[in-house]
Parts: sequence; structure tokens; C-alpha cells
Amino acid sequence: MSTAIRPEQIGHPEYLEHGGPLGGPDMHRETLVTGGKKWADVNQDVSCHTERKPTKLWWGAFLVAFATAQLFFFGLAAEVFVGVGVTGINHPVGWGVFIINFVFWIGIGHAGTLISAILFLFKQNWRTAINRSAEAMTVFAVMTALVFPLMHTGRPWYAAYWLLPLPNGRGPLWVNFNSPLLWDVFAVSTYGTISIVFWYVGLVPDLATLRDRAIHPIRKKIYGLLSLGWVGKNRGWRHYETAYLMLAGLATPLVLSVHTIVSFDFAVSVIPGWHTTIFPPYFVAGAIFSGFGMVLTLTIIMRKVFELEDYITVNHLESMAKVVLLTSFVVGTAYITEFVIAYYSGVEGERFHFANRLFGPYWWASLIMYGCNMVVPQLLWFKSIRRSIPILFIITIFVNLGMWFERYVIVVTSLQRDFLPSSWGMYNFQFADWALTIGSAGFFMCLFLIFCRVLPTICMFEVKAFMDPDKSAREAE
Amino acid sequence: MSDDKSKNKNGQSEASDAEEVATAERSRIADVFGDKSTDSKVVDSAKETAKDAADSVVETTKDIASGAAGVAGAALGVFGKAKDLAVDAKDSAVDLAGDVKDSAVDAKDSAVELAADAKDTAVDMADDAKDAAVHVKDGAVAAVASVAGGTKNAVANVADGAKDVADGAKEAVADVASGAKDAVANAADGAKEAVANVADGAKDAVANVAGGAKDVADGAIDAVGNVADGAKDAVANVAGGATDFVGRIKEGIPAAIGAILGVSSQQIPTDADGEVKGIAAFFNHPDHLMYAAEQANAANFEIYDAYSPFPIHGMDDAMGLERSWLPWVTFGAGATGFCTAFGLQFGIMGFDWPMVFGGRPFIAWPSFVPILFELTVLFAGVTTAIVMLIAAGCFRKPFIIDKDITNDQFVLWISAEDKSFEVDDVIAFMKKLNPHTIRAIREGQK
Repeated sequence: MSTAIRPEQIGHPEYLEHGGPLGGPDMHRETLVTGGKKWADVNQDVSCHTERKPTKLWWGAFLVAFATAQLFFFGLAAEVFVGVGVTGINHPVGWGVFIINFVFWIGIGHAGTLISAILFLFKQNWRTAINRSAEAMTVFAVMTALVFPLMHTGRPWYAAYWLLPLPNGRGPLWVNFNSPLLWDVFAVSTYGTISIVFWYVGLVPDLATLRDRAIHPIRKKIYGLLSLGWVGKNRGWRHYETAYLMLAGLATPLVLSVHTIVSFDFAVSVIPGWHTTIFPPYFVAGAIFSGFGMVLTLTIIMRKVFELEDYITVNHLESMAKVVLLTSFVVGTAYITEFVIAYYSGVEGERFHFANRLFGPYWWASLIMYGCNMVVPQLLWFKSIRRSIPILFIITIFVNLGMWFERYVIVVTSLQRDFLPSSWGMYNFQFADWALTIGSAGFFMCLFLIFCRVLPTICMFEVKAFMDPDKSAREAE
Repeated sequence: MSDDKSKNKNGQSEASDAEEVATAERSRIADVFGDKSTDSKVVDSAKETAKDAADSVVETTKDIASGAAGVAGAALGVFGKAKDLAVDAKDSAVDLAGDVKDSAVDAKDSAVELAADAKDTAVDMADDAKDAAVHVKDGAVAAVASVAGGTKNAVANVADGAKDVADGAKEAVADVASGAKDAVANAADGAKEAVANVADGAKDAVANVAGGAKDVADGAIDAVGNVADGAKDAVANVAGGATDFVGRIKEGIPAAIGAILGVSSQQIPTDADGEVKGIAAFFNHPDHLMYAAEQANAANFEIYDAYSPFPIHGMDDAMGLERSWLPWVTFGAGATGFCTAFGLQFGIMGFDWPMVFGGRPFIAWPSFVPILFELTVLFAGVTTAIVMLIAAGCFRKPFIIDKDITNDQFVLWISAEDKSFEVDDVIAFMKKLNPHTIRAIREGQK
């Protein structure tokens, strides 16, 4: 090719202008793993980052994340020793920062399960490069999310009795199985458990790889224990593959159920703006939208820092960008439907609520929400933008921000002005709210950075199974 | 990848697949097996036949020409004839080479240079013949790898198709038949080329003999070179064509590999103290391992296994394993979870402490659905994972045959616990599979 490579040609080794059936370019995607890698290269490229001292860049990022995480612990400590009143929540906005962040982080986790389960069932082989980090993200996001409802109880050390059906000395007085909040307890704890199981099952063969590569006896011992004695024989693989399929089949309805049940927390109530049947699909799509935004943010950084550009290629990023665009569309449709139905229903409270969203005291939050979630992702219609990594990165930041504000708008605007004008009020973020919100991101990033250091960030055995060294060797010729 | 191959019914891409594998294997085999060829045999036979054919250059040429015409006529159906013709061409070429060389020697006895040149050319020819032998073996190895790729059905189709070409069978085997046709045509072309080369070489040589002793010597060098090339082409074509007939070759191939290459280059450590725990054959490609596992299954080994860095599709069939029983565990555990949630919610809400919430019935079953679902998934998922790990042999001290199994090595393992295990027999069996290494693993060996 004599002329300079244009952005849309990256990742397409065969590119013919005006060669397509409709006059557009005819292009063929490169293989999943580029750079003519062999099987042994996968091991080396992925494992080496766990086997050498962390880079300065990693230390820098970790220190920032760790410092931010201290804010989180400070916020939690203040809440435990002083009380939930240190945050801005009060009558009428009683849910505030805890539920906003809970819904946000649970939503973030959804992309990981979507990638590892649903895309597995759809045989989307490009998922193999990103499923490990996405699943790790899921596990850490759920861990972060779980802190919030526990702390929202005010006395988390009693929470086990309030949240789980444990026999107790009060009758026993059981939990209320009619309550969506209890469904949430089961949904989120099941989701967290299955996510960890799914993630760990995927890790076992790769931990065996790290064990076999380990030189230091202590390192060998640790990874030997973690890999549970995996040896890679076919009489093991055949059960393994079946189990993976079973887990994917279980996790697929699970991931749809979790945010459905989270949305029941709102939808089962009678508050205007919450009491809608569109909430379950709207929440699930929003969760996948925000989750893919976060996966993109993390993988764009990760592929650069850990030199994994040959495994997480521009084509992978473009595929994720397409999912973001699709789910943005679903979410946008839900936003518009809410307004239409509120108008069409004729219910004064509903109509007022949506007018309040746009023109009330929190109009700026709604503006950020609709702007970041509906307008900005429209840029992804353009192929050149989907394939431009810096622009994509900025868009994902907007998506993360927009989805946080979606939860803010849903929780706060509905509660602050409901049916009874005499009990209207405002909710203002206090220092503790900021500390918990920003600190939770630091806590999450801390966990993710540690994961990047000690575990393989790419599912090596799956990448090996789907890469084709013979073919890439042929193409190299 | 193996999936693609097993679904591949197209003879041509089959052949190209085989060639790719051959290309990939070629360099390794050259490294592993080195100069185990039959240089001296070829040289000797060249010399012997040369004497016999001294007077009959032109006749031979005519014969070969007519033979080539025959091949062209019969090309559509009879690959075997093409192959024979190619071999004939090669033999004749070799004859001619010896002939020309002898004429050269007779023409100028006193030229020491000539002798040296003739010797050099003979060595060249021997090298080429050796290359050709490697080609044959490459084709053979490629055939083995193709068979290993799970192409049993496709291979059967190739064989059937080749037989039915004459009858014009045009169903599922049409592509395969055309592939065979092409291969035959290639072989015929190769034969023609060889004949042409032989004729050219002979002409040059005769002219040079008439022209002068020095020229004769040069002509001899050219002729021998041409002849060697022709022979190489012919043999390479035969080898290429042979990949289409993997079905037929499959039986004879491992033995042929053994005969051509010898097996002494495979390392089998014999010095060790402990009991032999089993024998491992190492391969570089999953398709090769799949073929090996198929053979182990066919040889009625029972306690054997295929170790690989990643799951290989089709390996269960190759090893004759049935579907995993794990889905039953998932179902059982899921049912248990469902019953647990059912008992928990109905028992508590309906019997242990019935309470009225919002004026609804004690047992408001739609409220119970989410938790019924969640506990079903929770029990099923966790149990499946744990049972799978146990079934896969985890939670005990691992027996690691080689560290590179989790990297890029594919190992066929036959355990000493197998009832038909005899060290020598198993090693002999494994040699036939053409692994790059065979290793006996002993007690306490690292």
C-alpha cells in the first residue's frame, strides 16, 4: 500500500476502496491475535507482567488509587462512628449516596458477565481477549457495590439478621419475602458468588500456567495451591468445557435478573418516576451500557500499560463501541418512552415529575445524564471515531459519568418532590458523600490494579484456543 | 480450527491444508531427522542403471513421451498410473543421468576435472533425491496431520471420489473428485515436465559429446542437473498428489516414515531408577495430538490421556469419550436449590410466622419467584463448578508430565496402569505416530 494508512484501515489487512457490494470499501478483519504470535508468545506476553517488578506507571496509578481509597474508608468510618447523618441524606431523600453508588457499581459489573456468559453463548470469539479483565471488573464492582446497602443500614454488624433469613431470638421473626429489598439481597449475593465462581473457574488453567512458569519455590507453592492441581488433560477439559457452558447458561438469565430485581426496588414503589413497568429492561440495558463503558475505559488503559495491543486490538475496541452504541440507543429510547408515557398517562404526579426533571432544581444533573448517555454516544455511528482510541476513551468517560448521573437523577429527583408538596426537600452532597463516591472509585481501582499485577489479565488458554498461528504465519508470508 | 477441518469436505482445500501442515512440519523434520537419507543407495543405483541404458537414450525418451501421453489420457481416473508414470520418469531420468555421465567419462578418460565434476553432480543429484525423499515423507506427515484433523469423513469421501471419478459421481464428493483430478493433472504435468527435461538434457548431452570432451563434461553437468530437477519435480508432485489419498496412505504411512527416516533420532531415556509410570509422546500441533489419540483409542489403550494447553474440539470423539455427565449435576443441584427456596419461603411465610403485608394472602407466591430463581442458580452454579473440578482430578497433588503442557506442548500419555502396557510395545506404537519426542516418565522423576 503506497498511500498512508487511514484510521478506518487499521485492523483491516485487506482493504479495497469502492470494492464493497454497495460501492463502499471492501475490507476484511485481521485475525483475533495480531503480530504473528505463537502459542508460547501468549504465555510470555501475558504472564511476564506478573513475574517482574511493577513499573513506575503502575506504582503511580496504584498510589493515586490507594490515596483515593482512603477517602472511602474515611467516609465509611465517619458513617459508622457518627451515623448516616454525616451524609446529606435526610427526609425526604433517604436513599441518596448509598443507593446511587450501589446501583451504579452493580450496573458496572454487568458487562463482565455479559462478555463472559452471553457473548460466550453467542460464540463471539473476540470476547476471549477481554473476558478475564471484564470478569475481574465485575467481581470488584460487586464487592464495591455490596458495601453501600450494608452501610446504608446504619449498623452493618446487625445487617445479617435484617437481610438474611437466619433463626433468631425474636420469635424467630423472619425477613419479609414479599419485599424487593430482600429479593435484592438474594440477587446480588448470588450474582457476586456466581461471578466469583465463573471468574475463578476461568482462572484455574491459567493459574496452572503461572505455576508451571514459576521459578521461586514460594511463588510456585502459591500458584500451585491456587490452581487446585489442574494439569490440562482431556479427561479434565471435557468436564471443564461442559461446566463452563452450564455456568454461562446459568449466568445469562442471572445477569438479566439482577438489575431487573434492582429496578424492582424502585418500580414496586408508588413514587412518580419510579413506578413504571419499563424499569427492568431499561435498567438492564443501562447496566450493560455503563459496564461496557467501564470495560472500554479499563482495557484502553490496560492494553497500553501492559503492551497487550496485539491481543486487545482496535477491532476489539470497535466491537465494544458498537455494544455501547446499541445500548445507548436502548437507554435513550427508554428515556423518551418515560416522558411520552408520563404525558399520555394523564397522571399529574408523573407529569410533574418529568417536568421537574428537566426544569426543576436538578436540571443540570438531568442535562448531564441525557447529554452523556443519549447525545455523546451518537458519535459512535462514525467508524473513524469507533476506531480512534483517544476519542473512544473520552466518550467512555462521558458514558461512565452519564450513567452515574442517571442513578443520581432517578434516586434524587423522584424523592425530593413527590406527591406531597409539604414534604418536598433538597439533597445536597456533603463531604462524606463525596468521600464515599470518589473513594469507591479509588477502592475499585486499587483492587483492579492489584489484579493486574498478580493474575493474568487475559484468558490465555481461551485466546490460544481461538487464535490461529498457522493462519497468521501464512499471512505473514 | 480443528472444527473447520472436520467440516471441510472440499478436496482442494484439503490438499492445501495438507500442504500447509507439510510446510510447517518440513523445517522441524529436517532439524529432527537430519541426513538420514539414502544418498549412497541412489548414487549406486544411478550408476548401475546408467550402464544398462547407455545405448537407448532416444528410445527411452520416446517411451517416456508415449507414457506421458498415456498418462494424460488416463489422467481423469487413474492416479496410481500417474504416480507410476512419475516414478518411471524419475527412473528413466536417473538412467539417463548415469548414461550421460558415463559417456562423458568415456569420452575423455584423462580429464581429472571431468571426474570431479561428474562426482559433484552425482552428489547434487543424491541431495536432490534426498530432498525428494523428504518431500515424500512431508507429504506423508501432512497426510497424517490431516487425518488427525478429524477429517475421517472427508478422507473417506476423497477416496470414494477418486475411485468414482471415472463414473462421474457428482454429489457430495464432487469437490473432492475435482481436487483429485487436479492432483492427477499436476502429476501428469510434472511427468511431462520431467520428460521434457530429460529430452532436453539428453539432447544437450549428446550434442556436447559430439562437440568435444570439455563440452561433454559441461553438458553432463547440465543434464544431470536437469534430470535431478525433473526427478525432484516428479517426486514432489507424487508427494503432493499423495495427500489427496490420505485414506489409502493412512495405513502404510507410519511404517513408511519409520523406514525412510529411521527412528533413532527420537530420544528415549533409558537411564533412571524408579518404576516407569507411563510414557509420553510430545507433539507440536493439536491436530497431530488428535490423530495420536485416535490411534491410541483404536489400539485399545484404556488408561491414556491427551494433555493440551487448551481444550481441543473433537478430542472427546477421538478418544472415544462420551458426553460429560455434568449437566445432570447442574440439574440436580438446581432442583435442590429450587426446593430449598420453595421450602424456605413457603414454610416461613405460610406456616412458621404468617403475617399480613398490605392485605395480601400469607402465601403470595409471585413474590417468591425471584428468590426461587436466584437460589436455583446459586446452588446449580456453585455445585457445578466444584463437581467439575473434582471430576477433572483437581484438589490433589498434581502429576505434571511436563511444564510446557500449559504452554505449547501437546502430549499423548499412556499410563503404566493400562492393562496392555509394555514399555517396548508402547514406544514402538508411539514411534509410528511420529512425535518429536518420546519420554518414559519414572517414579520420582522431575
